[in-house]
Amino acid sequence: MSARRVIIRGESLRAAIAGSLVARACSGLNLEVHIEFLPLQMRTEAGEGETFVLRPDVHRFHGELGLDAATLHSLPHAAPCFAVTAGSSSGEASLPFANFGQARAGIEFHQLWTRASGAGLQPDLLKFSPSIALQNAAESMDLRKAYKLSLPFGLTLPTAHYADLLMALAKQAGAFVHDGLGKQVTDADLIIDCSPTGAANGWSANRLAIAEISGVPGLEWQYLYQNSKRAVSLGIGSLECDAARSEFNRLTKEEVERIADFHELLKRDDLQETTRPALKRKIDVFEACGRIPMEDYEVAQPCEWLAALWARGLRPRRCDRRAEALSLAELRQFLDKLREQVNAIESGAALR
Amino acid sequence: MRTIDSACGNRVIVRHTGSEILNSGAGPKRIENVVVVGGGTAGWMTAAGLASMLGSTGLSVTLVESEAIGIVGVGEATLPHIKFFNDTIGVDEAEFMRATNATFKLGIEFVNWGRKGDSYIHPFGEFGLPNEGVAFHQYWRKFADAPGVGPLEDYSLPVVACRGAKFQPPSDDPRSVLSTYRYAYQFDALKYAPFMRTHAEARGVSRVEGKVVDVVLDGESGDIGSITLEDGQSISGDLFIDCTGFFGLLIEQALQTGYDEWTKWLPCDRAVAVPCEHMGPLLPYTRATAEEAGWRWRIPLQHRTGNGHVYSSAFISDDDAQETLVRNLEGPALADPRLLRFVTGKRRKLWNRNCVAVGLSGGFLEPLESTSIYLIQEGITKLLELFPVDAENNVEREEYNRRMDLEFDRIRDFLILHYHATERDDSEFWNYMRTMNVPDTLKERMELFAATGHVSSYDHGLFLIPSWIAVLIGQRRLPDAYDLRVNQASDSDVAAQLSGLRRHMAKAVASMSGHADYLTKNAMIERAL
Repeated sequence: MSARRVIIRGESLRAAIAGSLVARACSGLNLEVHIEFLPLQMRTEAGEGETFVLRPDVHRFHGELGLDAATLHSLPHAAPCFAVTAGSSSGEASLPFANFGQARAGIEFHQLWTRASGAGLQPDLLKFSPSIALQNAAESMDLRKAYKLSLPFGLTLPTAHYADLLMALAKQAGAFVHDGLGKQVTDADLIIDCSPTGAANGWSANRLAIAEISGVPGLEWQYLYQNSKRAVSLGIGSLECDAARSEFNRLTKEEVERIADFHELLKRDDLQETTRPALKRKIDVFEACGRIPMEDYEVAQPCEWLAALWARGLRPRRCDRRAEALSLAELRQFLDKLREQVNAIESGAALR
Repeated sequence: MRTIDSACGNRVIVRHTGSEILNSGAGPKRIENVVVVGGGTAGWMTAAGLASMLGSTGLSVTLVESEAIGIVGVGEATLPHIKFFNDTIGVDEAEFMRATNATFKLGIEFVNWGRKGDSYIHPFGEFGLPNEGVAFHQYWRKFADAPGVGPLEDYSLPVVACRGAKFQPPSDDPRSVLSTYRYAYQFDALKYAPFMRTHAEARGVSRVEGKVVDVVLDGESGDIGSITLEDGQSISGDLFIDCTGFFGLLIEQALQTGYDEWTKWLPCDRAVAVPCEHMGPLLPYTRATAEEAGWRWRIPLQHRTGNGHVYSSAFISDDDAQETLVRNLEGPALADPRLLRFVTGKRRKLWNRNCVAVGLSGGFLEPLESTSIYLIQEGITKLLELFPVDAENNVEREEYNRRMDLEFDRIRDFLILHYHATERDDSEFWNYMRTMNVPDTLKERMELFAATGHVSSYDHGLFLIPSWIAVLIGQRRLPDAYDLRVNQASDSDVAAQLSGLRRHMAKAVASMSGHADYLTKNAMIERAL
């Protein structure tokens, strides 16, 4: 059975993100979409307020909404975002959206760096991140320029303006937008709750709880629009389907676990004491040989895991043996060239 | 000391010694010597892979094999991943095609699986194009019965090419419909191992001829210290790769690792194989035809056709199975039928102590989806990624086993799907397969698809969404519903788009070369077809 009336509830930005996507997806389907929102109270764990960060996946979300680069560029303070900073028990962690350096012959860059480091050749791994270098120039960078670069990037956007923009899109798609919760619509087939209540997320009866708070800038929004998409594909058209509900809850739970792993990596004082199996495995394998085992349904990218492990002071005891295939002279030349390229980004020369 | 019977009938002794073999110096010893035991497809692929990627780091690779012991010659039909492996170790495609009498492969045709008389192709590519984030098959589902829409396979370029016996490599232009597929090979497995051998030896692999009669285990660690050959030669190593086939000379006979059987879900336990003369057009696909108690394969090579019958001995006799195979040959047989016995399942640890089982020694999932060589490749790739520096490698070993277990489990579910998603009730075998309890992971997937048309996805594993769609829909498991967003587009618009796409596919395939012509024009044949 399909829903006939859906309510999306939450603080305005969260409700706007979920509501715009649901409204767009349900436009023309003989289905009422109501968005009930509370005033903006943006002060998240990630320290976001006037502006906030959306991760690179957001471009797909915008594509589905039909939101183009020119419209985003017109928002005040809109800027590209190539890396974010998150607090950790070992100080601030820079988390880039693109890989460090460049892989060579299928061998990840940090494995080559580890070998070079063992031979006393190279400075800090972070100095090889084009994303971190670009982020230093991002505030003043024209957003349109970022779209021409080949590196993945997210967006820094003005919170209130962006929420307004998405609400307008939702209205255009036929949604009814209400200021305040539960005042005008009393019943619905499905309620999509975007309030991060701390309670278990998932689909229970006619309520989908789809929000999660994160201390890592952008992570909670990514989680929110992923779940919004799932609400459309699994929830709205299959209200009484146990298999759909089970799948929704399975995916939601997996992603929450991966986010919790990432938070624990950043925040736990003594990582040796972690009881999270997937995180423990990441730490053990990374320390043993530099590889980072990825699970299904990861939210953070491998480069972010690497940066977070690095920020917590974890280092591989050895490099991938295949990295030894390169002579030290070749390795030095390769790294010097990369370093020059990152230096050029830092100085702004590469962007002119 | 234990004595065990080897695969070829001789006796192999397992001896336990003191710990001096492995720990003669202070601190863990760097792994410098790898010994590969067994020289079939798995053995030579492993040796070539290790030597290509790690030879220049000082790693010495020795392969021990005996000409007196035959090889199973697994995997005449492959998956697209093999091209990556061949490319990585520097294999020239045309040279490889000539040397192994190979043909190209765009998918697998399944005949009589959903019902007798049915046929569908599981292609190495997508079905149609998604629209507004909604998968193509959701649109197709709504209009499946409408006039002019046709079967889902008409919207898959590799399937249309298979049906027309066409082939050309995919386009690099992502906007082209000719970029929506990949390809694999069908080759003579008995020629692939020697071909790999030339590559491996050119990269420094040492070959030792001889039968293994003795496996010496370190008394303290339990690791393998050395193997002894029939002529008395002792070969020691830091890491041993067991490529001895089903017998598992090192991983099982010496290390007693254990084996998890999956026969309750995959009860086929025998195969009889025979090549025959090639007849008819050279098809760019493998065929799997369901029979009374199993299925028959047909693999077209340049110089012959490979045939086999995989069956469950609980439901059909060897004689009847062989008769079924021979009766269905398309041309005169070129050899006597050969019988293989196997038990579907997986070794409990594919990497145990200092021994890694690659190929049939690690496990066997029947060849229905051509996964044997893929699993060899994955074993090699993951070993390279986690290659240990010394004997202290518990973490690497556990991670290797975890990842390989995941591969096996997910392939297992996909194979079971073929047998379980059937309407056939014409034999005891099919009644059992249709009504058996399947793993929960598979049951949930099937229920989700039936109710919503959505395929539960994962990030790691061989068979992704298009593969599941091919088999589910190919075997008449049409979902009860489709994504509600399909209704956003008008029926006439969708019908026009479907019709246009179908024509576009047909036109693109019409411009492709015939399969045999492509091989000829590109100097990939050993002799004129």
